[in-house]
Amino acid sequence: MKTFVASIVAAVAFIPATLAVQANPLPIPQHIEWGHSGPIAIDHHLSFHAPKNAILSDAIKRTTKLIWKEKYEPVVVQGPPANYTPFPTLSQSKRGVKHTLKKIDVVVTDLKADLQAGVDESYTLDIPAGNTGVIKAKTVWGALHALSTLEQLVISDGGSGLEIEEPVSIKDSPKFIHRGVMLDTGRNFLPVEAILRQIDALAWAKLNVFHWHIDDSQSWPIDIKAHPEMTKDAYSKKFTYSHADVKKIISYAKARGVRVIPEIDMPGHSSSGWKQIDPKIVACADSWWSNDVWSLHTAVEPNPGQLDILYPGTYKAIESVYNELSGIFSDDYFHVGFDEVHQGCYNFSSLVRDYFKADPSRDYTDLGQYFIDHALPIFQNKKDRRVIMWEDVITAIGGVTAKHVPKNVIMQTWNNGPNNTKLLTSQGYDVIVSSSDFYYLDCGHGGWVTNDPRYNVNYSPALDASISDAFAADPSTAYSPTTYNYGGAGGSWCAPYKTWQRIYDYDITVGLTAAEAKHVLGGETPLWAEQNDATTVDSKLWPRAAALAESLWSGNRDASGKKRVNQATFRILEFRERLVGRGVGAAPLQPRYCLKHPHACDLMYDQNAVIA
Amino acid sequence: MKVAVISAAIATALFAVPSVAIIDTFLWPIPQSLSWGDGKLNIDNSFKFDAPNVPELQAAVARYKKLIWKERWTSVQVPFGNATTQNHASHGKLKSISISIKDKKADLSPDVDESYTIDIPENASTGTITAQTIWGAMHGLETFSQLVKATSDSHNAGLYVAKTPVKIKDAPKFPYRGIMLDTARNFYSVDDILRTIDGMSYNKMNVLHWHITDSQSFPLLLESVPELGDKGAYTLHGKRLGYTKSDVKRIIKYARARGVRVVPELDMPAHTASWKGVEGITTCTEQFYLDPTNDWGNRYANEPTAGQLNPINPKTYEIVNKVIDEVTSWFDDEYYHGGGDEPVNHCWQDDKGVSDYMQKNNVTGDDLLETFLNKELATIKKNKKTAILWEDAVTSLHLNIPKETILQVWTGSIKDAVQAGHKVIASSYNFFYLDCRSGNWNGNDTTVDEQVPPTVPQKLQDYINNNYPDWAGNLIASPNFGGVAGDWCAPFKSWQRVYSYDVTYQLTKEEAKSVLGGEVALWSEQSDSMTLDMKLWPRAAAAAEMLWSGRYDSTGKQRDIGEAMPRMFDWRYRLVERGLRAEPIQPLWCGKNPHGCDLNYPWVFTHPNDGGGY
Repeated sequence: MKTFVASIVAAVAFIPATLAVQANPLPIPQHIEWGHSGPIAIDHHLSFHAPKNAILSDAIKRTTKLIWKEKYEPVVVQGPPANYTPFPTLSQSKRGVKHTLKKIDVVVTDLKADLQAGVDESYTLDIPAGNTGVIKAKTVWGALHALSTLEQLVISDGGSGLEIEEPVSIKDSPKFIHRGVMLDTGRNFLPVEAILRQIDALAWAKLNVFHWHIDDSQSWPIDIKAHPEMTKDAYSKKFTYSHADVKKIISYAKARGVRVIPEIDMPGHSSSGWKQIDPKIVACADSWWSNDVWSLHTAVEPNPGQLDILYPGTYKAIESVYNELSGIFSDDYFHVGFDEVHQGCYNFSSLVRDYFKADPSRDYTDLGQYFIDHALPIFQNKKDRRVIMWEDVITAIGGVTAKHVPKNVIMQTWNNGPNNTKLLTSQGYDVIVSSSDFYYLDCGHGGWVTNDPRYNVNYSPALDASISDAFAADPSTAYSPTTYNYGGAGGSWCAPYKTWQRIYDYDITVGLTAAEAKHVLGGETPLWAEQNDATTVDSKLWPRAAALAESLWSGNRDASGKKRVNQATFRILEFRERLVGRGVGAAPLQPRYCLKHPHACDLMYDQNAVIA
Repeated sequence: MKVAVISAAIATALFAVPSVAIIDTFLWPIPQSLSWGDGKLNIDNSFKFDAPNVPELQAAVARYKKLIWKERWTSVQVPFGNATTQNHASHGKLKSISISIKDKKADLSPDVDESYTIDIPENASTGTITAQTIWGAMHGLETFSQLVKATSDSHNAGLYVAKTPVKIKDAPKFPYRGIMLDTARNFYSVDDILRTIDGMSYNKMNVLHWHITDSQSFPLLLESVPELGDKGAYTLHGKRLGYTKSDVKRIIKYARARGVRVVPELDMPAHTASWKGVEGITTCTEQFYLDPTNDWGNRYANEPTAGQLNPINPKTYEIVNKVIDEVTSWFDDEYYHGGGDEPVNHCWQDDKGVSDYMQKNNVTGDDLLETFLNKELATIKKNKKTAILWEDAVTSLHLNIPKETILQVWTGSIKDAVQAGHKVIASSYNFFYLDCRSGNWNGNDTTVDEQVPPTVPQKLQDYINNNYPDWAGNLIASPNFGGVAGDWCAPFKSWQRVYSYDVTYQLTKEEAKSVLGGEVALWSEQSDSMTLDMKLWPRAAAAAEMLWSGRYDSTGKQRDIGEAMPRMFDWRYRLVERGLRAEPIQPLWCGKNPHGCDLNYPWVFTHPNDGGGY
């Protein structure tokens, strides 16, 4: 029932021939070359000869266990659209196995390189026609990626054994050093196991950052020994992370090549937890968020609360909380927030009111600067510490911003697409791209604030004829008048829903000079949790985060520079099946029919439609 | 991060003060009539139901006895403000509920009486449930289970009923309260379906409309025409994803035990590429759904993959008759859904035999459709079933279809269908399509590759700025920026939107009688086992209340979404506890801070003593 597709005339063109093998790892390696001599069986006692290293030997054990447990049978049929010459499939006439892979030598040059931003993640993986394969990597972390590729090359031989379909040679490394997912455990809680499961999937997709937005104004779920009272604002005793939980998450992630970057969002989005230390720390905690009188709003969503920038106790509290967490989290990066700091909230602070009264030349940028000047020295108390902030500190319109933010602070951009990336990189900031137009996984899901009268509309409201005429008068425009419930956003501020293709097609360095592009560290896809918890996390993240993974690891274009989303379709469909088999409840992207009928479910017949 | 909420002048919605007093027990759907006291009656460890010896009822009683002791519910939602009064503990203990039934034989039919009453005294040891039929009694048991809560005190870990005496008198507003599940685009296991039936019974929903087959797959393993399932069912890792007769029987039995009817649909004549197991009965089979011009007017189907039953081939009718004969013999419900949606004439014209026939006999595609549907309806009637069809043939094509056919309205107007003389099931995609918003699912989607918002032409912008200043940032959208991103039925239908559907909107009293009820639909292009629960729940529950309790209460007042909110919040957590992975509708903070997450300033904040707003 459904689909009204815009009619776009396009020429039919041939696509380049694809691989003659079924294995199709995601992200696709930078260079992959298959041989033609036939399948290589995997010996039941396949051994890895690797240097002594605990992380590496754990990873090898995992890989060995996984490939035999998974015994993966590829699901997706690859090939050109049906009207072309049928694609030869190997499964029908299997050639005899000539070789058996008995051993893989693992060579790592630098066993000591720590898992930190920019660590070398490159690797080569060679499975020649013979019985010995080779993995070479500069670091353990590169070797881990080689193993995750290997896991996706190995498939069932149709019987009880495993094979790699053809000899294969891979040389691989990431385009971007920062490839992440942000999870929000402040709006709704995620149990430790749910987080660990996401980390498994991150590693399989070669994503290397888990950005943990731990708290928000709604709840404070993490134990702080210096202030045990803070978890009074956890949703319940069960909904807290102990130090042991945090350490478990960090070491689990590290064993899989995933960095854990904590975020404590300050001074905005701060109420729960902080107000237990000292209610004076938090301004406007008891205010109505005031969507209805927008000029007075104290927050963009319930519940309000911001750290009082001028109250000395604020910095004492920040220091003790920060130092404790800084001691647990091992990553050099630490995210301190500065997201959406609202002026209206500070109308509730007598200190702020007096501050402005005392000197009428002061404005909110002075207030923002006060916070930067007093808090940043606390944050930057370690040699290798890199502080991350949301871009709002620089770019927020009508919010609290600062005049001078040191250039060594990394900016995470989420507004205004490529324009803000350019703005920030041109000023010399390193940037993590999380554009809400592309990467926000929570979008398009309707509104969640309640008692919303706007839904109670039974017939599509008639548009004023003059407005329809105005749009009709300009047929060139891609815009159309929409109403809330009919083709509109339905209450989602960042509608529409971001499909995997939308995520995949984002060029995060579009419009930048070469020098500016160097400042783009990579990207992150955030999953804000107003409408997400353990029941939905797998299907909201996966397989869409895998689209980001390929786009940031090996790029969204082929060797000739064309967008390759149409080839990535096969990979992401297959990867989704693997995720489900491996225990992650990833959402289906299409009817299963489409997995068996290459390109039958394309929107456009023209295989070169997406190229720019 | 982020609700840039539209600040357009929205009048603050004041909620009315309904008659129900504040309570920390949350019922869903809300009974038609409900009165509470302020007692607290503990439930004795030996608590039992005394019920007449009807097997289905005895099974239900055993189920609910197990459920209340296992669930041990403590509310997640916090009651509002100072309206909570301390319950005074009763001296007695509730030892039994006595169930009496007027008509023990009444079958689970479309017009069966589902009413019930509950009476839990303040102190006495026995409560009662009365009902006309066992099916009504099952609803009574469900409501009773929602009244039962556990003490959070671990030393005194008992169950109790709060706010005794409790008196409830309840009956559904609409006899047809359904969920449509599409098992053809993607497959669901039998367990998935059984779990969905559990969820339906918790919500007093009584019809599972099973959209079994579609163009993509034919998962029904029929015995009379086995080649349909052999060739048409999906396989995964060597396993056929199909339903055997015993699977179907199991589902029907399980559903019946819970007061849920199962209505099968094998969509035809469109949506049938998967019937390819029988040679020659389909046209444009598995054609790409567009032709190379990509012109929508030349499409073969509304989505991949194309294929329709050949309306002039006698073999087609031979197979159709066999299929309907067998399916109607498996499914014992009085209703049978004959499909009939989205026929595309081009798919028939593509077949030389059909196009020659059309030319020779001077008939149109619509004529062929009318002939096909009437033959199909005759076969359904021969099998003693009442037929349901998607409305398309009547409301958009104005074909001659017998009035006794129930129409399921998804895109047209209910009024049109009613005025054409049909009974109606309401499934407006604007309210009840639960698949909307997931974005376009076709591959090779060129439209999403747009890095920055398109420019609004200056002339247009000036016009909007001058004449419609409120529209400037909010109400114009391009596909990737605020728009629908290729999703034909965006936006997402939030539970509040589902709840707002008034299925008798602007109908006369007489016309309203033709509305049997409604059905939320989950089309499965982007759903399977992994997402089923979160797509259905708790939004289907919003429909359940609208269809059971009604959009209007007994005094004729429109039900208030603000009143429903805390009950819905608690209910979602209860569904999760009962094994359905219902999705969260808000941060948990919102349940702990009543009304704190309302869109507009809560009226109750300034009127704390007016019954807490309830």
